Amino acid sequence: MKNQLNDKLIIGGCEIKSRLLLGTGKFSSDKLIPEVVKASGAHVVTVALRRVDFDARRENIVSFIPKECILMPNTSGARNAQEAVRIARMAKASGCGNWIKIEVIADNRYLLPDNLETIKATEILAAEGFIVLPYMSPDLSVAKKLLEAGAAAIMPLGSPIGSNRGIKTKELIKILIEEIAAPIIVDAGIGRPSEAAEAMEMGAAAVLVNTAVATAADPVAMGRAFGLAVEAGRIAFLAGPGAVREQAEASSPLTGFLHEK
Amino acid sequence: MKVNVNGEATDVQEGTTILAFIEGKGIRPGTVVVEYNLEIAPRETWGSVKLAVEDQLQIVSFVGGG
Amino acid sequence: MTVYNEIAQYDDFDFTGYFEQVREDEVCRILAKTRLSVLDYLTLLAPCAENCLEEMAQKAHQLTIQHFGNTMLLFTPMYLANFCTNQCVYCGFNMKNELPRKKLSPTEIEAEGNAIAQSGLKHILLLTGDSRKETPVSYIADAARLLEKQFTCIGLEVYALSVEEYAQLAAAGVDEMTMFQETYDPVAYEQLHPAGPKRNYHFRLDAPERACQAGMRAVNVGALLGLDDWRKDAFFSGLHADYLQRKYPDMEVSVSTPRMQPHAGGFPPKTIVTDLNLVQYMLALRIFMPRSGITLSTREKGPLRDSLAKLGVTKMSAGVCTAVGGRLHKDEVGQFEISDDRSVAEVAAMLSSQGFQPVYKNWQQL
Repeated sequence: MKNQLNDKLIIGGCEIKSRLLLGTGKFSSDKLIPEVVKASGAHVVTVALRRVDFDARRENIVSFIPKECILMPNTSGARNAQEAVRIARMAKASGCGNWIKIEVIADNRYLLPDNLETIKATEILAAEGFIVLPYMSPDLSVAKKLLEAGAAAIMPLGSPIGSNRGIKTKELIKILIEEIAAPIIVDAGIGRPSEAAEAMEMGAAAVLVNTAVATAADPVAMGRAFGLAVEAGRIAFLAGPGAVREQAEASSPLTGFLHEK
Repeated sequence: MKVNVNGEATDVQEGTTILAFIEGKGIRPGTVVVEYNLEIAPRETWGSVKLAVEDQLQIVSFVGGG
Repeated sequence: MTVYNEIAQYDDFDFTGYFEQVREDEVCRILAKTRLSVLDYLTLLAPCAENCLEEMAQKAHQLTIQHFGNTMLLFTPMYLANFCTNQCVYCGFNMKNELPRKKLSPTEIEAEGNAIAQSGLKHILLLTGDSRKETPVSYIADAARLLEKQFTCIGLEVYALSVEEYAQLAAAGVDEMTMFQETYDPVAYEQLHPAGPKRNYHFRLDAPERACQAGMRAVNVGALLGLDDWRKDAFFSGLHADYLQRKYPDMEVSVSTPRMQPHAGGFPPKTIVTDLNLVQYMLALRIFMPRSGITLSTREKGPLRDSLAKLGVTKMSAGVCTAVGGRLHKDEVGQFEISDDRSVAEVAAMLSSQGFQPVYKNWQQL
């Protein structure tokens, strides 16, 4: 268990106490959020920014989020870098801190991010002192450029937003985990706790989950299940899984010559 | 007079400040962020900035999101 | 930031202690991984990993086939000159050694090139001693230009140069740069290189990186095994290759695994590197860096080379002569004694019989 003692996730200079990041969209009632946050153990919680609807009075979402959480606004709704930057600046003006999840989506059919605009927005916002976590389509050279642009972590998608289809981009995310010297947080697509555990066993630094919890029959219980799965996956990763032996094959020895006289 | 609030033409009495407009809508000022003519309006200026014809006002707040 | 920053992290590292705690099941666990850490690589170099050599060989063979197919690139060195201002204690060209010094004239370079080209090879490695006076960069560039017509890939193994000089040679048609650090231990390095420009450990260490910056297509690094503790030099060679590949992802990075051989200087190796040691190193390297080239020279005997062909090697020299103009005048003294004097055709036949396609040309700059 020695590995776990020093196993800390640091992003933007903050120690993050849980490797499960939680989104707050799509809950049947915002009143569930405090309980879900507590049951899941999440420390970083995402919110979105929208124009106030003067007709439908709603309680401010922030009041449902426990004070000890780090609030990470996203830039959802942004279709290009300029809009993302504008939303980020407004979010910061609310006084909720300087974390920002950059999400630039110019495609309404698949909701896939625009990597190029995401790089541009990352560069501008990181220079302004934001702690930037860009949501992206997994691609090694884009991830490198995001890191150069000042990203604090990289958030590749597992499958399209809200699809609950699991980690379809596994091979590409594995490459990011191997090559990128920053936390890789799998965002979008994780539908079940077992998939969150799978991401963690692969060596992801964290996962971000929203739809799978918010749309569960019992979101509080599902939040807890995700919290446990993420922890289990992380411990498994640190423990170093045993060798999976390939089917024994009658292959001719390659080193026999070393023993011949 | 008409000003543009959140993309819609809205009737406002002359001399209304940002703060008065917000409070008039029944919104607690601490829960929103205001962009006034494409610039973020610092909270402390809301009481003194008077809305003028065709001003652009964006009033935003946090909602659930992932 | 150079590779030295990474090497220096191991200044106080207890290699002996690390090797002692390695167990066989740890080696097996590493063999199941798809990507090894630097310390995983060190684990595969531990004495205990010798017990898993066959498992390592199967994995290395499978990775090599996966990334390189059933092919083997053939090349041959051409010694342009043996003038040298260094006193490397282990080298036949040491300035203190009395042997006829010469350099090839343009006519001789063409003639030697013709002799090599007749064997079908398109891949050549040019060598000189370390003498900026006798063999300046302009001389090497001229040689490259003379050979460009006959050889689609020209490699270089000469003294350490600046970025500008490497760029000059790249412009003259040189594609690849080879530079052996000999040993990565700075203290041993100092003792082995008592005088001459090569004494500058850091200038040599950073030379492959300068070649990357100058626009060469490929670099080849390595240590001369036997000069110091081979396991440490093997480790740092891998670390060096990994550093270059990470920092310059568009470069083709290869590693050579030369062992010391007897030669005119008569310097004995500090440690004897056995065949088994050499095999372990090559396998660990292949498993650590599945896509890197591994170059095998004719310092090794023919039968051993035949067996090593399946263990991760991707490039082999053939039809080798280590003397200046040796293909024109058979009696010249070489830099080191070769142990496999088979012709290109003979090596190619051996490879074919093992199921490899011998490749003479794998690259041409457009």
